[in-house]
Amino acid sequence: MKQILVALLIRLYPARWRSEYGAELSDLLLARRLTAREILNVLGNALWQQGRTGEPWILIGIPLTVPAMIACVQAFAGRPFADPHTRAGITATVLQIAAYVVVGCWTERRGGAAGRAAVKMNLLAAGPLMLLGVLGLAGALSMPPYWRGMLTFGPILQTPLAAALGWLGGRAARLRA
Amino acid sequence: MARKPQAGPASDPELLILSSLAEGPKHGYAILADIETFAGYTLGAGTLYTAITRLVEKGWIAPEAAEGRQRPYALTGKGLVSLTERLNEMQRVAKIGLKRLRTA
Repeated sequence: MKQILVALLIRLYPARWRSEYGAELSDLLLARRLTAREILNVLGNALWQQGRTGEPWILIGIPLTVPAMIACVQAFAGRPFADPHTRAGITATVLQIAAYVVVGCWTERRGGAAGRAAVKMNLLAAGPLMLLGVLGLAGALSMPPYWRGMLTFGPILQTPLAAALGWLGGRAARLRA
Repeated sequence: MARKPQAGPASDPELLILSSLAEGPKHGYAILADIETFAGYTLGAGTLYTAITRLVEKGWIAPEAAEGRQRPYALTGKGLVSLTERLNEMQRVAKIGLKRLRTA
């Protein structure tokens, strides 16, 4: 039981970190009493390592799925959150643009492809919405035809914009370096 | 029973690890046991390896040849300089504080 728990805890660390320190930490945990405090300590440090070494498009993209889902639920409830004419809609658009630029900048600083990272973040953040759209197209979910198309294809149509803004973020990072 | 510092420079994991390695190379388990003995502070295993990662990246400690699955870590020249500076700084502040306490 302890071995399984320790193996699961070690799996929470990034793969690169695990290959360097995983065996040592695993041995240490097996040799010590595994208290709730120790488990929380390892859990917190695993998340910290993920934050330090994780891919920027995943680290920003996953939290962005939450506002995307909220916006979708609000839209279904008849209160469109992302209406471009409202203040909330403008704020959402500005934050979305900022997210593309930040991901591009961050990825470039880590030596990755900035534009591609922004595109991947866009598709990840919009993934749940696209799934809803596909369910709508398949007839499994009742929604107006406009929504079916927008949810399914909207994020794909935004791909060039995401790539361009991510690329700009990357260029900004290069200028600062 | 040793004093248990909860915060401040005496409970800084990096400083504790460097101080432990000042005695000679040690692996993770020995570092934890040593810190418990000389500082009375129990570091979490996750905290220990996060600090070790940072110290290796800074070049202040370096892993040596593995003993089974455990690798001992040793203080580098850079680490020795940094530890000396930090301990001297702490000593300077402690001296001033204690002197002021005596004259108060």
